[in-house]
Amino acid sequence: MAVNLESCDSLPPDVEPKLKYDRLANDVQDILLKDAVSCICVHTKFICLGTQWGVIHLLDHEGNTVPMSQDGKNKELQAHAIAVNRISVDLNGDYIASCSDDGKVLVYGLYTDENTHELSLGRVVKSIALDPCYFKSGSGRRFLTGDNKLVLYEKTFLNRLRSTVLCECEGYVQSMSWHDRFVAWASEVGVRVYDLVARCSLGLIQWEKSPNRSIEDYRCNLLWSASKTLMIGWVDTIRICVIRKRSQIELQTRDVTEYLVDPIYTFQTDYFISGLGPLDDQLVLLGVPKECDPETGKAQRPVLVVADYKDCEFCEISSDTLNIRGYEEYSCNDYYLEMLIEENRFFIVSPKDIVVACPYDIDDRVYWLTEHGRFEKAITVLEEVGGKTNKHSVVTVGVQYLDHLLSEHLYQEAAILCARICKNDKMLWETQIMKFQAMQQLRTICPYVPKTPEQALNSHIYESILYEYLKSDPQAFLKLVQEWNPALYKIGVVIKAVLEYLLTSADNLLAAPDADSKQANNNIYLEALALLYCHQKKYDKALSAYLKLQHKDVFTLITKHKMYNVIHDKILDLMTLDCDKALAVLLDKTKIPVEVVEEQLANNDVFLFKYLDAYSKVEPNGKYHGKLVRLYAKYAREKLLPFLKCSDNYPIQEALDVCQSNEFYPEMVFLLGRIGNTREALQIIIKQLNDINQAINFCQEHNDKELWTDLIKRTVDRPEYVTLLLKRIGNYVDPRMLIQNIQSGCEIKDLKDSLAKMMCDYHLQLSVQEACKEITLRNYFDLHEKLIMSQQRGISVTDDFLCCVCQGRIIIRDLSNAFDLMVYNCRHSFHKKCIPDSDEYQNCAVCSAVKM
Amino acid sequence: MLALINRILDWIKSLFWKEEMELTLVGLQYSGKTTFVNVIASGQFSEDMIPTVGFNMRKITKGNVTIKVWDIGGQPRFRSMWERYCRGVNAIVYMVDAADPDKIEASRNELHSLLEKQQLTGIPVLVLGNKRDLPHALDEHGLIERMNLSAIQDREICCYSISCKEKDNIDITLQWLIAHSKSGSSR
Repeated sequence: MAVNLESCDSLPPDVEPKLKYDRLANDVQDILLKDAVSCICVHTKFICLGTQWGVIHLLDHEGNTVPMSQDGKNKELQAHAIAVNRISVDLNGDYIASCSDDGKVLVYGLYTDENTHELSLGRVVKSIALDPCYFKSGSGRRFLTGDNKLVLYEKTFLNRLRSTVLCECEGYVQSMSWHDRFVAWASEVGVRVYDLVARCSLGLIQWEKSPNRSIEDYRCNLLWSASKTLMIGWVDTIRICVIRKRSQIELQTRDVTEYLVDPIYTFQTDYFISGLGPLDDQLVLLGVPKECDPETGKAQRPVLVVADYKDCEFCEISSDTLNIRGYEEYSCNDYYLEMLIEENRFFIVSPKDIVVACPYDIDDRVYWLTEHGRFEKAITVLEEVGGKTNKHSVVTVGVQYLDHLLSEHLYQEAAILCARICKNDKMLWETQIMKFQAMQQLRTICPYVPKTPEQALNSHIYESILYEYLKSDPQAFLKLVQEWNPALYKIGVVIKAVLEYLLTSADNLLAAPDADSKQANNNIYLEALALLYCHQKKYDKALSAYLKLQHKDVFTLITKHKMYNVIHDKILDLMTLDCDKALAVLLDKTKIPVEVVEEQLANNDVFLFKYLDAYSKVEPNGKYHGKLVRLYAKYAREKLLPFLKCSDNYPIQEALDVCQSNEFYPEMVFLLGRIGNTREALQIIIKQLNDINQAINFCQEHNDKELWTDLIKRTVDRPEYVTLLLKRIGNYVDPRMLIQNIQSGCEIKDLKDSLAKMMCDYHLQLSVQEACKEITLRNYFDLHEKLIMSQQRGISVTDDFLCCVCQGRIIIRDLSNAFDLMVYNCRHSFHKKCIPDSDEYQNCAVCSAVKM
Repeated sequence: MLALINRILDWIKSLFWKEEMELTLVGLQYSGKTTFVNVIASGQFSEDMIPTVGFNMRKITKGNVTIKVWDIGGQPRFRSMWERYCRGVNAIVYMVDAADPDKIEASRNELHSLLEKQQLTGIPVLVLGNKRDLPHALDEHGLIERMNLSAIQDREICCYSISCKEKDNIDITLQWLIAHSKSGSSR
């Protein structure tokens, strides 16, 4: 059945076909070569074929001949002398009945000779119907024949066959159909339904006669589509009737049949009907166009129409024009449409051709959709049924779609699709990614590739992706290296690739016209390389790469990986790169010994200075302060003096030398003051700094009479200083010292004022001292009086007073044992005998001990 | 004496209680399906059978049971029809050539894919290992293992090793079949 029928679709190619067609092959082809089909009857297990030569063939559903008799010898049954008019098979497929124009009626048992008949009626028998239950022993073994009357045959007592004429009718009974208790048959006036139980006709469905054609020229197609639904297709009219049971009341009150035929739908079609049947909720119609082919004047191809009809509207859903062999010669009566309703299997029969139609199943639909490039729809269809059928799956279709998209260069779509179909299938991912690689489109698929460690694909996939980026997009390459989990790929491989690439590009660098951008790219690669080294835990190499790049990430790298031991020899480079960050690293919890840093920076004073400066702030242990003094002197004089003031850990002489050589006088003053060489300091203040105020302050700080004398000596020859001195000195030393030293003839500006001020100050000083003296004296007398008062006061000595030495009672009744007592104002009491040398003790022994 | 009465009773019973069953006989080609039908129908064994094209249909009466057998061709081109003929039958008889180790695997695959079909759910299966008279033929246990019959859990399944030539175990096979006739299966 593999032969696909080349039905020429009249529909636009983007409408999904409803039915698929296969030509019945095998033995049937041989039969049709020699003979022609005159009628057909289909059973679920086999097909019965009647031919023009009066032969009945039994075929399986693939078209192979099946032996007709039990011994397997008879391949076919020569049933009639001329064409078989009609074949009828019972439900079980045990008996077949046939009739012909030769007047013979045959009931044939496939398994047995019992209940078989061969009647010669001597009339043209147009139709026959076997009781669907003929195989049952209690069924009465009935069958109907139709010539110019409808006759029922049934088995009676002692195997006799009794015939009953059910109806004398107008013209021939040209077709009939038996279902359950009802028989429908067609004669020249219309279709009658007969109730075999009640033995009465349920009514006639009349067929309108048109003037130019008579209905007896067309075969009436009758079909019970359900237990009480009759479908009739005759000439160009379709009628669908339902057999209904009348209500009980109606039955009792009127003399009517128990059932009635109720026509529900009537449709006119554009075709002469060759057959019809149900397809789920729809209607299938085999028809021949009414008009002849305008070119040849012969009949057109038959059409199989699927239509909706339940809304009382005959609405064609699909219509396939069938390329039946020899269609030009046939009319609608030559075609038959037989079907297995429960299987939705249709047999389209012409005299020389049998075609089987069945609805597209999922596999067929998917195949059709993929063939027509509608992969998206195909995938949706598959997803609806759970993603998989026997022949297709979302994956197989998806891969086809992917190939299609790639061939159309729709890489982005392909990448999205790839993610959709591959999901967690690693093998699938890998094979699909290979396709992208072949097209140099790994970059497109890259965002969709699974990257979590659980879903990781083979490492070479990731390496390939990285390599493609390496060659084409350095920025993105760097980003991937930053973002991807390094476990995804073999770091060594990627490092090697980057190094090779750098090497080759370095060769090209000189020749390249846009050397700048090349250099920029190279820097990106270097950064990526550094990252890769980090991933590989080769931090020293990473460090070198960063340093080469002059990249500030180096500091994060160091702190993150605690690489303090590795960077000893790179301190200078780091300082050069970023002084502040380097310092932060170097000083970070002093993980790097200060000696090492000092040694490394020995040749670079600036950095050394910065380092030590920062170091001294975090670690005030005074190391290197001597060196720092020198460096401050060189680079940051403003910090020198505060430093000198707060540090105790520098060799003063050395510092002094440094200051001297640099002529830093304030610092020198401080240092000299510190070593006690105040005179020299004062000299510097006056000589070098010319700052009399500072000199005065200096003297004031040291408060040394000699110093003052020295100051006066050195300043008396400078009148402007004298004025100032006069103004301020009065508070500190005897102003006479100054005045006496003023040389005669020396012109002093504002002398009078100055003197007045000095006198004033001095007087103030004197009066202050007087007042002080007075206050002190008074205070003394007050206190003295208070002391006397308190010493004169008595102390009550009670029973519970104990001697502080022997803990014996002070007051005792027995005076004979009484001792002399000592009781102090502090309420400590003693036996006199308990205190050795009691006369020496003016004060209480306990209190004085506490004071000590 | 009692046996005679029993036989007479059986005969009378068979007059009144006729039972019917329908079974389908499938299996790879040259496993002996048609031969088996001939043997149970008439006891005739014939060596030179021609391969079945399409199918053979037979009605066999054993006692009061009428067995309708669909004997389907085993060649690959007929295998797609197996499902159709297995629908609605009382039992599926699956014939295996137990003496042909090369075809066991193909036979197993065909059986399992047949039994996967939705419409055949629950139909009892009898697997017959034919040709046990030949040397190296598999016995029941070998068949069960090689055909992976233990994997079939959703239906009644039975396996016999038979020989159509020697008429070995044909009787127990028939007993099994009769037990699965229409009334038998409802029992």
